Amino acid sequence: MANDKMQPRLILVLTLITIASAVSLTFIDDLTAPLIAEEAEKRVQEAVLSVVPDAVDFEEVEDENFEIFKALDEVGEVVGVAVQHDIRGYTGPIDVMVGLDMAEEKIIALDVLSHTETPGLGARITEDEFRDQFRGRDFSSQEEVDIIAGATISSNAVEVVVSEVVESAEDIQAAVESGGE
Amino acid sequence: MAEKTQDFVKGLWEENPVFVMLLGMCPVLAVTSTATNGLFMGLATSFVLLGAGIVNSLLQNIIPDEVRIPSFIVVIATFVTIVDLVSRAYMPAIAEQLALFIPLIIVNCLILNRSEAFASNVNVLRAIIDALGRGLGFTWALTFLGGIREILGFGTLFRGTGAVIQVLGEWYQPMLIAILPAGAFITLGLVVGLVNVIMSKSFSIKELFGGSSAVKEEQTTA
Repeated sequence: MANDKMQPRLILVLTLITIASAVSLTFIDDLTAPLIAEEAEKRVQEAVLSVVPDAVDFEEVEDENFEIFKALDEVGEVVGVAVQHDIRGYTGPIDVMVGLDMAEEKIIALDVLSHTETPGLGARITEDEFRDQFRGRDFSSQEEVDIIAGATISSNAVEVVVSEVVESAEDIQAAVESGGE
Repeated sequence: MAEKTQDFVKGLWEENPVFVMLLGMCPVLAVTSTATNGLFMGLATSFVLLGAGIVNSLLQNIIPDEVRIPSFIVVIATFVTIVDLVSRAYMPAIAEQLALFIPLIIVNCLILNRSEAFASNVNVLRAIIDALGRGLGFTWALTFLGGIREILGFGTLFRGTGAVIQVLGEWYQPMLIAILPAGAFITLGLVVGLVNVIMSKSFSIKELFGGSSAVKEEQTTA
C-alpha cells in the first residue's frame, strides 16, 4: 500500500498524464473536426441530391419535427422534397434521408446518412438491395418491406422511420409551401 | 539480436494474441464478418498497441506502481481517440462500418496486457518490436477469420473496398450463419482447434503418413 509520503506523487503523475492526454487530443480534434464536419455536410448534400435525382440545388426549410430540404431544378422549380429523420435502431440512432414526390404522392428514393448497426448485418440497410425497395413506393402502400436476414430490428426501424415521414407528408408539404414564400 | 527476433516472431504464431492467448475476443468475434473489417480493426489496434507500448515503456520509471493501471488506460484511451478521429476524418466509409468498435479498442485486454506485462518492463526498442509483432499477429488473425466468414457468408473477399474479389460464383448460396454471431464462435473455435493440432507436439506429418501406409499393408494382406 502507498504510504502517506507516496500519495502526492500518485496524484501528480496521474494528473500530468491526463493533462498531456487532453492537450494532445485537443490538438488532434482541432485538426480533424473541420474535416469530419465537412464530410458530414458533404454526406447531407449528396444524400439530398441522391434521393431527388432531378435536383441540382436545394434549400433548407424551417420545421419543428423534421429537417426538410426543398430540392430545386435549374430554374428554381421545386422537383421534390428531401426529409431527414432519425429513429432508434438496434445499437443506436439510424439517420435517414427520404426523397418525396409530393405531386405523385410517391417516395422517390431513400438514403441512410448514419447509423451504428452491426457491421455485416444491420449495416446492410445502407445497401442498394434493401434501399431500392422504397423506390417509387406509394404513400398509401401497405405492402411489407423485405427485411434483411439477421437484421430484423434494423430493417423494421428503417421501415418505421420512413412511414413516420410519409404519414406527415401533408405537414411537410405545408412547411415547404409556407417556407417558400 | 536473437532475442529481438524472438520478440517479433512470438506474436505472429507461437503466442498469437487471438489463436493462442485468446485475448481481445470482443473485437475478434464482433467485427470479423468481413475480411475488410478484420483488416482495418487489426491495423487500428496495432497502431494503439504501438503508441501505448512506446509511451508506457518510456514512462515506466515515472509511473508509480499504485496508479499504473489508470495511467496505462489513459494513455491507451488517448491513442484510441486519435484513431477514432483520424479514421472519421480521412476514411469515413470504413469508420462508418466499424462505428462503435473503434472506441471499444480501449478495453481490448491485449493492449493492457502488453503494456502491463511487457512494455513497462523493457526498453523502448523491445516494446516497439513486441507491439509490431503482436499487432501484426492480431491483424492477420482477424483478416483470416474475416476472410473465412466472408467467403462462406457472402462468397466474396474484401467487400466494401474498391478491390472486391468474387471468390465463389453466382451458383453459391451464401451461408448466412457464417456472418452471424454464431458463425463467429464456430469459425473461431474451429480455427483455434486447428492451430492447436498443428502446434501440438504429438502431431507430425510423418506419423500421419506412417499410419495410412500401415492401413494399406493390412488391406493388401487381407
